[in-house]
Amino acid sequence: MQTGLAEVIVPELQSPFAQDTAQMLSMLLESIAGEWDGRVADLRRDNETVTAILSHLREAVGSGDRNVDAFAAVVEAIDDVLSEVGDEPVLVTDLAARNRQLNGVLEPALQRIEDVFDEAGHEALGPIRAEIYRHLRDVAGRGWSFWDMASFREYMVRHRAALPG
Amino acid sequence: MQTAIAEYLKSKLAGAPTVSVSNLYRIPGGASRETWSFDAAWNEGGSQTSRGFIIRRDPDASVLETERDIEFQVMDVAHKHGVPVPRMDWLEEDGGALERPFFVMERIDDCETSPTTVLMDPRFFQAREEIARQFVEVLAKIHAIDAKGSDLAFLGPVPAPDACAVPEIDRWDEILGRDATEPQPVLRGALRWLRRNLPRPAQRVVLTHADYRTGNFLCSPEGEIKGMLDWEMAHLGDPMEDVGWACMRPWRWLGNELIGGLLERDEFYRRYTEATGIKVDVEAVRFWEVLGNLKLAVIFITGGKSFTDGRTHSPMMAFLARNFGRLEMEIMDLMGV
Repeated sequence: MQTGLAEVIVPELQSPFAQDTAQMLSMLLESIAGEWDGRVADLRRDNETVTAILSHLREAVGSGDRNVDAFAAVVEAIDDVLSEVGDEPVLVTDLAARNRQLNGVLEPALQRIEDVFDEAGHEALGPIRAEIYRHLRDVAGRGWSFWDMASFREYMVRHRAALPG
Repeated sequence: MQTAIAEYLKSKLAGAPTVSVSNLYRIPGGASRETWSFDAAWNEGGSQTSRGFIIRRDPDASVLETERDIEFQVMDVAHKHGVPVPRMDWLEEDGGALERPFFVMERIDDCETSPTTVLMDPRFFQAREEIARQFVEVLAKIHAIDAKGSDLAFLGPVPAPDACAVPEIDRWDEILGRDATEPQPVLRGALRWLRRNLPRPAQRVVLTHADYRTGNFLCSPEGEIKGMLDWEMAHLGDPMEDVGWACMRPWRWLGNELIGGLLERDEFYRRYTEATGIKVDVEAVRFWEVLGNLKLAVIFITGGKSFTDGRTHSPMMAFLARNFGRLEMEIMDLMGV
């Protein structure tokens, strides 16, 4: 597709705007292609990781009155989402839907953690917070971004060098 | 469109029986408004006049909804205060001639905005130090405009020095809530972090450009910044907001730590303080960098929603909305998590 754009369509385009739009399309294709092979594995791993994080959080807030009160709504949401157990999805669409569902609970959970984690009585939340951000970093650092060629060039070299394996 | 522009100019240029428009083309880039360049020629007082113009027109859908009259008026005020900005000519809020609201300004020729060109083209190498000097000087000029003056009354009440940060957090929190199509735990966590880590009160409330960076100014090969662009997010606020935005990693185009691809951070701070008398509050800058990266991510999300809603077919909107993972990494770095 990129070759078709570059060799057939772009040479026919007259205006700088049209040429720029075609280049943007090519970069969009690059971005999608970069995720293609690993998409299923990434989603499966992410879903497992978020499920584990939510379980750990459920456990951490299960003790201590302060945590129970502060996280009542989050706990209810975790119980709901973790009770939905079925056959493991195989389609990207289904894996992505589950991922959205899990992140839909992780999001308010993290917000709540940010509100209270450094207050007395919530010490158990520190490691959970760290676990969440480790996971979110892993997700954010994946794939190809146009910024890797410019603004984030040295940053990504350092980041990738620090990754295990 | 060319005919419509010619008719419009004829109505605006008193005494010009005919106006001819040529070389109309759309300038690539720009996520919030369409930018068009054209040449116009007409007879004025018996002699032939020709000039280059730029039209900024509302798009079918935008990355960001901003008030074009604010942009027009702010640029007009900045121009009057000696900030290098294109001369603003006409604002048409109801669209009329061009179907969607637009404004017309002078075109500044023989300049470049592209960071790739300004920072990497050999024509500009010799001027790098001058560009860096002017980068700070122009920001200082903007921050020197009296925020309490009647010139800027259209921007609303001047916020108190300790009330600059929360409205900005609220603004981007609201836009994220409106336009996110998926959970955004990093951005949501960051918003909470921002509310718990507010900066010290602003040393002075100023006019903030709110998109001050390499890539938003017209620069000559001699290093003169002849036009500061993209003022649509300008508002009254903390000068550290502009300092923080300028320092953001997305604008360190050379891939290293040079701010805007131009100068070391410490040197930027030193020159800014020397030019403005405002001491750079390092922790405040960190706050505004976190908020700046979040703001940029939210802008991209807004564009993505326009794309998925079918309000625009611009692939740039789709592309940007898939590419803010690096911003999230930067946010988490700055938060120290």
